[in-house]
Parts: sequence; C-alpha cells; structure tokens
Amino acid sequence: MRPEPVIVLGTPGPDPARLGAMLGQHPAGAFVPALRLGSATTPHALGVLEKRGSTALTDGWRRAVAFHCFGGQDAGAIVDADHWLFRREDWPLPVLAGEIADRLAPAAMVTFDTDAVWRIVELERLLAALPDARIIHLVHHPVPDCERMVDAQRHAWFIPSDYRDFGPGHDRAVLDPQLAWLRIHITIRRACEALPPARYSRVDWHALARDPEPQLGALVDWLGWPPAEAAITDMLRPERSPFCHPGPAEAPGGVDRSLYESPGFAPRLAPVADLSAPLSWREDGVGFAPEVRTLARELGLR
Amino acid sequence: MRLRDSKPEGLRAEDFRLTAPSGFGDGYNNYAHSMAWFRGRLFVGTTRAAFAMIGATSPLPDLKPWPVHCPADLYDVDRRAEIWRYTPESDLWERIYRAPWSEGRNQRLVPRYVGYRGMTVHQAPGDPHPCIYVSTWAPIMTEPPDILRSEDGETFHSVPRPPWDESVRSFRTLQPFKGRLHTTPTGSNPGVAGQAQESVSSTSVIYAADDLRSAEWHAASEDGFGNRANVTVFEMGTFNDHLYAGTVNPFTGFELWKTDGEGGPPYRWKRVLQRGAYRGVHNEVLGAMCAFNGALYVCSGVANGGYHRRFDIGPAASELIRVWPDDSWELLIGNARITPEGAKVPLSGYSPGFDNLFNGYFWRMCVHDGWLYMGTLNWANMLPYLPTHLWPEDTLVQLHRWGTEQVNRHFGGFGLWRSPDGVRWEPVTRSGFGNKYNWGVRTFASSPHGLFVGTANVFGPMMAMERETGWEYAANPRGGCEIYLGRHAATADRRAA
Repeated sequence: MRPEPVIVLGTPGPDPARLGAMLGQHPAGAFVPALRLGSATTPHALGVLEKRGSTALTDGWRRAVAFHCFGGQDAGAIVDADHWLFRREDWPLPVLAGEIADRLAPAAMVTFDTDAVWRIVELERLLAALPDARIIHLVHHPVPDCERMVDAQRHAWFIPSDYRDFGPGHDRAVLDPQLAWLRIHITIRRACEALPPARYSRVDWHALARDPEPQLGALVDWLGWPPAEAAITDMLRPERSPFCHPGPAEAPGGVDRSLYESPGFAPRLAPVADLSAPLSWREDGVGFAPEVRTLARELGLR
Repeated sequence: MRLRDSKPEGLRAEDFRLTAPSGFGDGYNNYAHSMAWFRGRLFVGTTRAAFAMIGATSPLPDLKPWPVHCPADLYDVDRRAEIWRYTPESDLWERIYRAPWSEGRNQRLVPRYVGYRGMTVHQAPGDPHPCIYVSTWAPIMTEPPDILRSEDGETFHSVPRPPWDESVRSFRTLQPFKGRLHTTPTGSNPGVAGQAQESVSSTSVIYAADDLRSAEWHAASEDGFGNRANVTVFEMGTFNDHLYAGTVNPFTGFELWKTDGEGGPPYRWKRVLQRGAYRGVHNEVLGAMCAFNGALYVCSGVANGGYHRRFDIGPAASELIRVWPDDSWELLIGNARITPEGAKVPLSGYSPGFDNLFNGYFWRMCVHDGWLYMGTLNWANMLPYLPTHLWPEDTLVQLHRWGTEQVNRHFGGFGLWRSPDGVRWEPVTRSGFGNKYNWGVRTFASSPHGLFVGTANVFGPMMAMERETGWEYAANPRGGCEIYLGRHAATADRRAA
C-alpha cells in the first residue's frame, strides 16, 4: 500500500524544499523536487508552459525520474528520464506522481510547492492531484520573510508585479513583498480550510529553527511515522538529499536555487521582528498593513 | 479541499457551437453589440464597419497598414445597423430590422443608426407586456441617437430620446430600476472632423423615464455626480435593491455610485468606490457590472481597449472587483495594493487581464446555471499593425523570442472564463474559440436553451494580410462577428452522433 504523500507549502524561498528534504531524511519519507502538479495536467502541457516562459518548469520531474527510476542524475539518466516522460507526455501528471510514489514505497513521497500557492485554482488542482496528501503549511514571520524576498528581488533585472505595491501615493509601483506574503497565506488557508486536522498542519519555521528536535518530533508524530531518535537526528541533515544540490547541466533546477548555496539546516534563535515597525525596504515609512498584522497573529506569529 | 455545491458543471469550449459565422454572412457586421432573450428567441443588434469609424477618430491610431480595407469616404460603406433574431427550435437566423437611410447634413443618404450598443427587456407602465428597448448609435451627419422599441419582436419604432445635445452620438445602458428606465450617453462627436469619442460623452447625466413614449425624461443624477472629472457615466447595474452607476474618469480613475432610488428623480447618490479603486487612471473606466452570489462584480480598465489615445493612458489590462452590500470590496483580479481602505490582494491569484496585458477589457459578464462567465477584449491580434519598434526593449526581446504570429496564435482572440464563486477562475477558451480575429466577447444572453456569446470581430470583410510579396487586402472568411451557443447537450449530441 502506498503511504500518504506529504506536501510542504510556503512562500517562495529555500525553506519549503529544505523542510521537505529534512522529512526525506527520515526512513519513512523520500524527498522529490518540485513536481508542479498545480501548474499543468500533463508533461506535454508543462513543457508548453516551460517553452513560453523563462523558468525551467520540468527540471523537478526530470531529476526525480532520473534519480528514482534510472538510478542517478547524470546526463545519461536525464536523457532516460526525458524518454520516460516523452512516452507519457499525455498522461495525467497525478498518475505519474503515483508511479514515482509507488517506487518510493514504503517510504512516503515528500515534495513541496511554492508556485501553486499564488493562485487558488492551481493550489486546489495540486491538492486534487494527491487527494490523500498530508499538507504542511510552512509559515515564516513576515519581517524576515519579506526581507529575504526583498534581497532576492532587489538585484533582479525585472521585479514581478507579485512583489510590488501598486497603491496610491507613489508614482511607480514599489517593491513590497508584504502583499505577496499576505496573498500566499490567504490562498493556502482558503484552499486548505476544509481539510481535517489529520491532513493539515501548520509549522512555524522559526519555532522549528529555535528548537528543532521537539518540533520535528511533533511533526513526525503527526505524520504517524516512527519516532526514532536517530531518525530525528538524520532529519537535521537535509544537505544529504541529492536534490539539495544543483542537478546536472541538463536539469539544474527543481528547487529554489538559493538552497544550493546553503543546503544545510542551522538551528538559530528567532529573529527580533516587530510587526508594527516601519518597513526597512520602504522609503516612505510605511509599515505592515493591518491585514498582514492580523493574519500573522492568526498564524501564531508575533 | 473545498467541497463544491451541487450546481451543474460549468461550460467548456467543446460545449459551444457556432450558430452564426462571419457577421451573419456580411463581414461588415463587426460587433454583436447587444443581445436580449425575448419571447423564446434571441435578438442581436450589430454595429458595423468599426475600423471605418475608428478612422474618423482623433488621434488616429498609429497602425500600418490599416488593418481593414475601408473606402476613403466613411459614408461609402453601408453602415446601416441590423437586428437579427434566432429561433433555437429551427436553428434559424432572420434579419428583422435594418436601420433606415436618413437625409444627412452632408446632402447624402446616411444610415440613421450604425450600431446598437445596448438592448434590454422592460415593461414600462404604458406597455401591454414586456418590450424590447434598444440603444442606438447615430453618425454625426444625422440626428442624435434614439431608443428603439418593439412590442412583438417584429417591428421596431423609435421613442423620444432624453434631452441630450447634438454632440451625443451613442449610449449603451438601458437599465430598468424600480419601474423606470435609465440611460446615459457614452459616445460623442462635437461635429469637428476626427473628434469622435466612443467612450466619452459631452454630458454625464443619468436620465430616467417612467413611460418612454411620453418623452418625460428627468435627470436622475448631477452631471458627473458633482465631479467634473467624471466625464461620462459609462455603465449601470442593479444589485441589492440599489441602482449602481460607474463612470469614466481619466484624471483620477473611475467612481462607482449607488442609490436606493427613493424620493426621486433626481436621486440621492452615495459614492462606493473612488480613484479607480485606488489603482488610479489604469482603472479609468468601469465597463461592466454583474450581480452574482450576493455581491456586485465590476470590471474596470482603460477606455478604448486598454490604451486611451486621447489621454495617453495605458496600455494596461483589466481588473475585476467585488463589492458587497455594505460597500466593502475585494480585489479578485488585479494589481495588489495598499489603499486607504486596506491591503488588497487579488484573491484569484491573477494579475490584471488574467496575467495578460493584451486583455484590455473584461468586457462583459453573465450568470448562467450558477456560474459567472466573463469575456475579455484582447488586442494581441493588432500586433502585426502596431508600431512595436517603439516598445521597451525588454518587451521587444520577449516579443521577438516568441514571434508575433506565435503570440497572436497563443494569446490572440478573446478569453472566456468561468467561475463558481468569483475567486476560482478557469478558462473556457483563450483563443476566441479558435478564431484569433474574435477580439472580444461583447455580449451574452443566458437562456433556457443555453448561454449565447456574441463576439466582436472587426477583421472583415477585407483585411490586410502579409504575403511574401508584401501586404495586401484580402477577403477574410473568419472576419465579422460570431454567435456561439453553449450548452452541455451540444456536447452530448455530438458524442451521440
């Protein structure tokens, strides 16, 4: 019997994949990179989207298939993976995900998604693709999360509109990821609101980073996985996952690239963050919108 | 997962059947501009030869070559607008009315009406039963536009128009509310060559009448609701026992007003939205309204399809907003922003135009079988004619990477989308039902026989096509408006066949 898969949802950045990789270090879990089950319905459709855009959308699939079906991630295995996917290009992606999950059994397939979280129809498509999945909603405090998003976007040649504030009071839309933070967590909550507690759990990244063993223990307990101490220790080493490092030149992606720079997990104290202070990335002295502060508190963040 | 209720499944592309191709056989019928379901039949009003008219506007769009073949003299085109009637049982279309010729100020016979921008079914106090009322578009060489009325769907006669001035050339909305009919002008021409404006009027007053045959029209609102920047009242709708009206405001963005209609006309009005819901002039106009599941849905954007040449606003794509009875509102599709009324993020996850700049309008909405349908205007099919060499370099890089024809193929043609709740949107078609010349969904009608969709398609009858030897005008068999009928049974019928 195929164990229930696990999906980590969160804002774009390295930590959803990192947590997925940590869970994948437990003997009961096996991590795979982003499968983008919310973005398209077939490998062919995903490929069409990839050609129209500028992001490598299929790398997660190619690396997962190469590693789990053909034993590695070298160029030859990627070619084999491409053939595997081509033969199935019109198959529903959920069916292919089931094939991967079957190969990983008895370990549960663990994956993550930071794309579908932007749009509720895509997130619901993802949840429908893996209807028995356990959902982990990963939350970061909006201050460090937005600061990280600002750092990621500040030097980009093009800042997507998703990270900007188009409101009145300034001539041009300004970089302000608090709206992205708000939108993503609203979307995750709306999509998951009808899930029973056994299928939905929220994880505070800062609590996990501050005190990892008990937090991971609680998560493993919720998943119904064996609570072996050694396994918890292994979970602190996500860098052991083959997907926390760049793939071959033919398929380097599949997770947030910033994870490659520091794939490990480092316990740390929660950052000092004030929800009412002016935002460091805004020059006009604006703070968090009341909606952001309210949602942060509802998510257990102070 | 959210459990859906038991409403019927939404319509998909394969559920739609083309019932009237190529402008009812005449490519000059460019717009299926208005529709009404009346006495078991569908009525469609057309607007003709749109590009011939656009050639008379100012400033003239910088298009090379001119996309559609037009005679040098606008009045050399037979622009007499038509009304067509469809009987579902016999699958029969009949032209039942054509605008008469009129003695023009240019000493020529000119069409009395060149388009019908609105159509509604309404029973005024003096009407024996519900009648069809049609708003018209009149060329500058004739009298201002009338309201057409038909009791039987066979014959149409004009009834006295509101007391608007000679410069008024068209109007769209005919909005019944509390027994009265309301309208307001939306297009004007001061009589100076090349100064016609299809979305800006000379006055922005709402007029109301109890009995349209009495010629007793009364002003139901102040000019521009007391704000001169509201240059036109563009759209009206009813919701929660109130009349709502949205404006064109090219200076600060559209405003939305509402009234309970008591004690008037004139009525007491309350402003609900301002400054284009804080998007500013990129929400210059409120273009469509629709009540659905306890809220009022409003579409907004920039006039003239997303780029308002006269005011140099845009290009920008359309937004969708939802207003609740207590006047609170949510952004469903659009740009996230922090406003004086709180942070607004697009709850659907889509940025303006469903993430597509070419969707200049969310043009029309309709509720059918418990679903909200929304159709776009998409100007990607104008790319071959636009001065794209003037565009920003990063945009050009992307355009050249894709190729104009590829962009047109993938993104040209209107989008028709459906939603069960206003938040979750899925496409029915993103290619104008496979016809890239269908640049917009201009009108809908929900009927017991299914959902009718009328398109705007200006690329007929002769359009500029690029051949190996250069540009030439050639007949376009897919030019002219089209009418589709969507119903689940159509799919079932095809499968059975």
